[in-house]
Amino acid sequence: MYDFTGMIQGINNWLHSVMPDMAATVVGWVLIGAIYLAIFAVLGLVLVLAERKIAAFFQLRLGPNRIGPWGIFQTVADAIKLLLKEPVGTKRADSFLYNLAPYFVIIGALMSISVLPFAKGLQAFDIDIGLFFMLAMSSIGVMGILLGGWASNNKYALLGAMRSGAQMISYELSVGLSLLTVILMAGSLQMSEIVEAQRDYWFIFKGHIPAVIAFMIFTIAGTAETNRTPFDLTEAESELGAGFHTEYSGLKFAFFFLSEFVNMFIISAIAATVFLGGWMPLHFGGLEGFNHVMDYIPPVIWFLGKVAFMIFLLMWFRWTFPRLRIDQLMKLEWKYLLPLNLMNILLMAFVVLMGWYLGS
Amino acid sequence: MREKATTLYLGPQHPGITGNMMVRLKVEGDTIVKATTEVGYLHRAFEKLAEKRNWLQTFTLMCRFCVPEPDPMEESYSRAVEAIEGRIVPERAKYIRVMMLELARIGSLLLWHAGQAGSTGLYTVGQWTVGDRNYILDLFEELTGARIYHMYIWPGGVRRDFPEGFADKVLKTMDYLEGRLKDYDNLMFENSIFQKRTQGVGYVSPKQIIERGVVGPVLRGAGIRSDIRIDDPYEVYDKLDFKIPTETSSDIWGRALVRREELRQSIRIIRQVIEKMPEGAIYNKVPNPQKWTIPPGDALARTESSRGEIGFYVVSDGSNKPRRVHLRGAAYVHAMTLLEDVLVGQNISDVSTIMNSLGTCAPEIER
Amino acid sequence: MGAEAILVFFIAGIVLVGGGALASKLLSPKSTNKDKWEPYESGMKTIGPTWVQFKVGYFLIAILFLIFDVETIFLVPWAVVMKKVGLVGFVEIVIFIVILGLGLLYAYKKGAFKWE
Repeated sequence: MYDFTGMIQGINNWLHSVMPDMAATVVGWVLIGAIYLAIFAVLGLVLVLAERKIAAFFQLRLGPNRIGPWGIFQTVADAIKLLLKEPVGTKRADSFLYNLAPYFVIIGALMSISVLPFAKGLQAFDIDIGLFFMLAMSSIGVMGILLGGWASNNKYALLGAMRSGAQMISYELSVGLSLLTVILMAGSLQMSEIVEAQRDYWFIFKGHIPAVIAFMIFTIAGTAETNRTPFDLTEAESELGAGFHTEYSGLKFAFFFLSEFVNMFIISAIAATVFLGGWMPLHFGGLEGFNHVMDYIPPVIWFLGKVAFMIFLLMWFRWTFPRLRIDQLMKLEWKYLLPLNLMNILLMAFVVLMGWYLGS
Repeated sequence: MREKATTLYLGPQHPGITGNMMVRLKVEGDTIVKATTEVGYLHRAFEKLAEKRNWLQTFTLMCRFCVPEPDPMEESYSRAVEAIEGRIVPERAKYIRVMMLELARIGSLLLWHAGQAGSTGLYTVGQWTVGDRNYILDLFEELTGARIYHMYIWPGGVRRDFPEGFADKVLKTMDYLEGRLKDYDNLMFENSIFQKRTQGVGYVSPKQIIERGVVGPVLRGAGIRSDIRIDDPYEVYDKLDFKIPTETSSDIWGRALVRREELRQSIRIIRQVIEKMPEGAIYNKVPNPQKWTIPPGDALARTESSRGEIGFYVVSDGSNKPRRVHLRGAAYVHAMTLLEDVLVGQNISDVSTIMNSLGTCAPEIER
Repeated sequence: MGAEAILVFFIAGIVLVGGGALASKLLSPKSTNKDKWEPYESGMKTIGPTWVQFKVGYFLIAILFLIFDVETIFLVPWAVVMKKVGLVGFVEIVIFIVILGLGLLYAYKKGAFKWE
């Protein structure tokens, strides 16, 4: 019902009609870049505020409430403060790598956002290996963390970075393998096609048991990928001070902080797109009337609603779980999640082979 | 495989360390092979300072030995002074003192909840318990006029009687706290990650217990029923009915369970105290503080604080100042000598958890 | 948008970080305090080299990850075409995953996940 393809095409045509082709293309690129940077910045501000408000809700306190109504401008003030803060690092650092590290985390996060479908047609980059591209890009972030921790030349930072590296690469396996179950059903890696394949049922319903298992594994592994409690060993406050970003301050620290929250958004968006139907409204095959009513709610709202649900879930984890120790973390991944995942893929393949899933 | 050992400092300025003290770790990979505690960042020379003040002035110093739980210090010092002088404490004052001690124990245990859970990354418990501790501090404020350092228990009794309707307020706060305990259980003690993080970690062996003179919850967590309130009852503890919880595992988890139960027992004690408290005077007036001299002699008073037994040794030479005041605190043995033993072979991640479990209190170590 | 999107987003990222760093450099105060630029180690001067040797276990995990990640990449094209290939694809992947599982079992028996 809501198709944005025409609208985007219209803007593109209008650009081409008012200026030469070359210029129109460049202007289009700049527009897209600017829009996504704005999304990126707003995401950071909103998510940090949401985290603090939700933390306050769980901890029976008020949370930020001074700047603006209900404290909604708190994170804006924080951002300005970080911008104006004196950058204090360490003179022992490998300054080239030290300065390079924030680029890795930010570019990795930006690139992964580029393939997200916000609605039909509202997608900057609909590549045919979309999901794969997204996983690849979001794992570039670990390079930034490793570089930052290593280049800081600080014992806590190095320990944090090593833990982070081990943790993120380990759980990346689980993320990739749990997404495989969905790819089995969708038969495609293109984000728009994955969403389109959920027109009759969302994949979590369509694939019933194996899909639910895969969803749970993905949520656990995704939490670990974003370095959040219970997997926040990389910046374990009571052990390592601040972990890999101990030596970063001011805006450079802000970039790590921002990317952490945007990564949480990315993981939630993958879960929403792949398991919960993306922008696709709640559809049940055969219930035409119900599906039609659901279609009236705009797809952007559906998408952001699902993402918000996932983000709330991750925040809920953060404020009600203690963190694991590194050996327990590795045990969880390699002894439980990985074998379970492999078996789950076989189960899903069998389900797909026999055609035991719901819908077509 | 063995890695090259490297030195890592935790403290004095580190978010995982309780108070300003330093633990110098020698680590191989993630495993600690040697731990050395170094203190001296918080030394305030209270013991020496006490020798320069007259008897009443020293009381403002005694409570400052330990921030989370100052009342056992006041209590022990008062009892030591009373023992030398032979001053009699009215019955009502004894009950009020017990109530103060137990309220302070609850406050201290609530702070321990925050530290123990916070050191494993579960910050929500800390926010809850510190928030609830405020209700205890409100009671203190109403009764004594101060929230942290009360200077309330002094020789011959206590400083003020109950204000109007105070007993009901105490009971109401206890009811509220008892209701909240379920929430702590749900969030902390029944959390499987918390259990995994604490079970089998920070084991204290019987040999270490004997060698280091371990006291308090650490001792009871190892299965030994030892508590000054029962072994050597002071004030009116012999007239009250309460249990001393013990566990046998001698790890962080065992100690956590002991403290969890102690909180419940303290609530029970406070209820009994309110119920049994007689009417009457609350103190035997001391003479003009400038001229108040105490006959020569010495005395040792032992009190069970939430971290374990503390002992005050006071010597008087007959003048209006103490000759010597000495505190033997629980944190001193636990955080300085026992910690060094227990940390060996543990993961770096567990340092903070173990420190909290042993009841480290940096201000009490350095007096 | 086609593959040029990669370029666009790459440049956007550089603009964000580079512009931010530049703005911060222009706006933020400077100080010449030497001790401020010492590495943080709980308020103590660092002893010895700070690029310390870390646990061997991390290398082991990295190597294992490499193996399993490559296997995952092999699985992706299979997953895409599984619906079309049918039974043959299923049987082949059972064999593949069993071999993979044996590898995991071997690593487990060797104690690679023990983290002593």
